[in-house]
Amino acid sequence: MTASLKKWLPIAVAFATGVFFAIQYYIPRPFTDELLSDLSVWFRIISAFAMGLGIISLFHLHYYKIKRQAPAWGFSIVVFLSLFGMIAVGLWCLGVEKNTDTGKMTAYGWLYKSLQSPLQSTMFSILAFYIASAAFRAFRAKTREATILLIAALIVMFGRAPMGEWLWQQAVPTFSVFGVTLPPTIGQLTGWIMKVPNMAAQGGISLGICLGSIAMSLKIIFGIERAYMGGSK
Amino acid sequence: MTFFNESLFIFTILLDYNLIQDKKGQLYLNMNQHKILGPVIFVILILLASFSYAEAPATPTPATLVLNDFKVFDTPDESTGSISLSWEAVSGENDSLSYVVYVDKDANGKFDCEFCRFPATENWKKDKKWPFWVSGTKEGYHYLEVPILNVFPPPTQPELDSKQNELATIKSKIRNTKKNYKNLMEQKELLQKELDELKKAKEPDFKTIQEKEKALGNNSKKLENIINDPDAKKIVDGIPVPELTAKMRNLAKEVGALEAKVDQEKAGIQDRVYYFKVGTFENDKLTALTAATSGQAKGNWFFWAHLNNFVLAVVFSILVLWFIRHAKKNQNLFLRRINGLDAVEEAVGRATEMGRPVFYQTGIGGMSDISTICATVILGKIAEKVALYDTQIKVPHRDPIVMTVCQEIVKEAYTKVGRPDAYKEDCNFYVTSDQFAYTATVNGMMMRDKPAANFFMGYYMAEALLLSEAGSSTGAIQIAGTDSTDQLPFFITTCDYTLIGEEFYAASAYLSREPILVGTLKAQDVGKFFILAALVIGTIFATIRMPEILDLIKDFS
Repeated sequence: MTASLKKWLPIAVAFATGVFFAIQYYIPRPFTDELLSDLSVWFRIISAFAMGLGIISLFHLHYYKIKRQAPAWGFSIVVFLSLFGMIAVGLWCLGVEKNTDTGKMTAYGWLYKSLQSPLQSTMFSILAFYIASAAFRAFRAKTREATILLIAALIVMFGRAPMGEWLWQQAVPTFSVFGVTLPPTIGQLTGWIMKVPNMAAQGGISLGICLGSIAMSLKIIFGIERAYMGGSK
Repeated sequence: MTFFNESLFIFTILLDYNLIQDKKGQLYLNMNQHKILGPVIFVILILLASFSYAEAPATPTPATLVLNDFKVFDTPDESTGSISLSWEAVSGENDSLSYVVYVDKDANGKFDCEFCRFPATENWKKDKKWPFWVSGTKEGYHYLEVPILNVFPPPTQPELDSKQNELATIKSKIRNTKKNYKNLMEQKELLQKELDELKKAKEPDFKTIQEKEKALGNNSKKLENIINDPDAKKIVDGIPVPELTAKMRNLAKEVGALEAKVDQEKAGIQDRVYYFKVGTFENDKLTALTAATSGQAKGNWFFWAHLNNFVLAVVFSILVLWFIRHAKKNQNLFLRRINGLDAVEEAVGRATEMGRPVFYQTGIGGMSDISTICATVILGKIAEKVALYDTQIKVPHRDPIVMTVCQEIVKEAYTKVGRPDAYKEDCNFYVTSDQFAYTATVNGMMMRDKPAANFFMGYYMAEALLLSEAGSSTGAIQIAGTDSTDQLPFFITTCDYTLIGEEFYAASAYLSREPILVGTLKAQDVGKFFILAALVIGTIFATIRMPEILDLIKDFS
């Protein structure tokens, strides 16, 4: 392949597919949807092949870690044991997690349900502790903005917890002015914070994101942005 | 009317055949002899006939209905062969009035195919989510969509349905046979084992043995039945498979051929002209009917409801291209400072001073995500600085395609600054596609390697806080950039700098300062002005209740 073809072919492919799928949105014909789903199948097939590259990379990295006895190289052995163990069991069970005839779980299914799934859940559960520690740092009232954030966060936390609503009712006396009960309940305050300032900020950010992503797409379609192809010129 | 006809008919017979006679003391009526009786009977019959007219009048022919602005047209924005009808509502419509729609293939046909009947208070055009440039006037108009294929299904469709059902039954039989055989074999083994143990016992329980032997016998009979089934001739892996597979293959072929035929028939049905009549029903009686009006379905090539979106996209594209051209001429376009991007230099410098690596992550998305593409572009710019400062960069990946792209980008960056020798192939490496396994690995690496700087660019989900909080605990300078609005608060609390939304997309232009890229930022600003203007104008028109104008800025997906 000549250098010029190597340079222009990916841009031409990006342009053709980009323009087609942008236009596809405006054509109410079933064949365009079919083509879109066909291409997503191609993408999945290519991804499956690319997985081989990933495994080679993984193998390479951990093999050299073990060879060089880099810090924590023992974990690399665990990686290989897990990788080959799961592949072997998966092949033996033909990738089936549950026997459809007998309804019994296969060894592969057991490994997934009893090892992988709990490990995933464990990682996810750490999130709760991290949220607490991140919140502790973020909600220190060092500046005026941080104080507003702290107050808003406290209101939302109280408003979302049933106990918070009850405590607010006990602590804050209510009175009626022209048939309107004042002050508003903590639930109403929370609703206002979430629906008005929060939604407004999110809307503003979303607008910027949409325009940014459209501009980025146009740059890619017209071949202006080529850095993702491994060369800006 | 029927009564009159029958009476006249009987009377004629009586006259012709002179059958009313009296013989041997019975009533004798001869028309020739009793000249008075004949005319009397005739008069009575005439009177009766007139009564019968009064009692059961004939169904009147419905009057001609003239509907205001009655239109039959191809349903816009679809290509499945559907015809739409609309007409202006008649004043004073109420629950007692119903509309009926008849359809026929021939203008002079019988119109005996009633498509639907609905109360006059239902089926309004305003309920259809169409912009004004597609629907025209919406208020006070009735609207009905007639999917032609539902009214005139392809003739081969029932045959196709029947064959498809037959195929499904065969498949199910094969599946069940295999399952039953396996279960029976397992039961047999279990029973045999139990029986052997019972027989080995010192004091055998003969009653239980007998029961088990009986159960075993029944089991064997069932197994034999399966094996002796005329369909089950083939044994695969010790399991009898009903020899229906050949039949199944033939059926599958037939189904394929029928499907093609049905498709052809559908095309024929959709392409022809149809005639419609709309009638009014009052008190369950057809009172009026329109003349036949024709309509034809067409395969549409443009989504007219998306016209506003299309115009905006074209205008924005032209703006982007114009500003790029403008930026080429005027290279001193102003860019406001973005602290997060200014800190990139500081972060890489810090890593150089400390002799620790820089960690860069491209997020959870694949190469088809625009944010991942943006993250890979930013990686190129940061890798140039890393190469220039002779620092180490580590890019863990969860997508092999992204990894391959990033390898090329980092290699190119090292070459660009004249340090191709410093490039290490394994700086980009694959970890795993699993979200939390990836997080655990990268967290572990952060704890061990203690990077001086962490970059979190791209799209993130639940792992955002897990990664950034772990990075924060190592004391690294952290810069995040994402378009995931849900994760932004987490990055803001845990990172030193966060590129919010559009700043993230502006990063490549900001870092490179290439006029072409900077030009697109100007176009974005103009686009933002348009959107803000649309918001203000939309608010005003919504307040003064002018929904048609709002259609211009609505999404009709």
